[in-house]
Amino acid sequence: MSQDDHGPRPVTIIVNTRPYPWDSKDITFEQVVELAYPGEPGVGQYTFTVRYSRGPDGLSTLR
Amino acid sequence: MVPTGSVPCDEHGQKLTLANHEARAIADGLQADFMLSSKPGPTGYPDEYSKVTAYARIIADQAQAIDRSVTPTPGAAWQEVPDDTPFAYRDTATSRAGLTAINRRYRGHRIAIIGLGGTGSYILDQIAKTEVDTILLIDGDTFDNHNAFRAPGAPTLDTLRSRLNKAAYFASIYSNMHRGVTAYEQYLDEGNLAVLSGSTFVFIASDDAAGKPVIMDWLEAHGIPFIDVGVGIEETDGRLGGLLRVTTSLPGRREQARQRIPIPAPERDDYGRNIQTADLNALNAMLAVIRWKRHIGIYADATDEGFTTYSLITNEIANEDLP
Repeated sequence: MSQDDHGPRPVTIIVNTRPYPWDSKDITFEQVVELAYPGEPGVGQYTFTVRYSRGPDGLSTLR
Repeated sequence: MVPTGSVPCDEHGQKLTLANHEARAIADGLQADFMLSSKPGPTGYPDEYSKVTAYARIIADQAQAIDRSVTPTPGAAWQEVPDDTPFAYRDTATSRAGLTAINRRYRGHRIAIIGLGGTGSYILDQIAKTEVDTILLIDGDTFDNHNAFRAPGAPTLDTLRSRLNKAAYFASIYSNMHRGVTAYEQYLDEGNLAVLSGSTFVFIASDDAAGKPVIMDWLEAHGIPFIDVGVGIEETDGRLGGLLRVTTSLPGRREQARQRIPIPAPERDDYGRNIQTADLNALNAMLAVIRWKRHIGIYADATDEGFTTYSLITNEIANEDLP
């Protein structure tokens, strides 16, 4: 992902309806899951669908 | 047997204004050249008999003004048309809308719905209104109060008290309309998958992730396409948000679909809440049914996606896994 950003830092990312400040233009699948379910067993044990809007190529899922 | 004719006219040769030139396929091998429209008032005709005889009279009267011996009911031409639709009564709007030929394409399809919970019951609600040959309902659970709030219709308390099997309950309701609905009142496992034999398309609307792999293995081995649906709704700060998921598994694209269907996982406390609401169940079901109708060519399709998600808080549909 390109580093040229147009918005202010930190960006605000909304995960499961809650806003979080995020100090980068990049975020990984695992990082999103950790924001949604902090400290819980996650990727590998459960199936998560991470779906984004207003991201790369508009809207899609993250894998 | 293709009736053709010229514009209906009055006795002076003036075209009757109620006839519009509009060719329509009424049935296989039967084409109409004109549509008639003449309503006596805002409420129309009291019944079909009145309507048909009124139209016949409007045209016949003009002809009889010239030759009193002509008749619209010569008698010898009467032909009984067999009603071979799977419905218990006629869909009277289909021929009017010119959809008979398209709707006929549902013939030969045999659908199975695995799981008659919130989403599965709304899938049935739509499939029952198509001319598919058969609809097999599969569920081992009973139809209880909480199910009534995630299902089409409004069962009486007495119905809920009788604690019917879900598949049996929905079969009893929907066989009022579609004659091909049957119930299989068991959960599926290795021992009874043959009940799916002959299905042309299967909807999996079950929340039992552990039971799915054996079903999906069987469907893939038998070349049967299927759609698996999922609803993921969570409460955060007092409001609900989440995703609807439609995964379409077609021959040649099986592995792609497998990766989009949740794997069996250990129980988690908050997962047991299993939040579902009837409108989101219904929307998920509609997305699945429309995907199937695009697959079989009833609806035009320019996407052929294997994976769709609907995001509630952004009100957006994303299509992925394009061929």
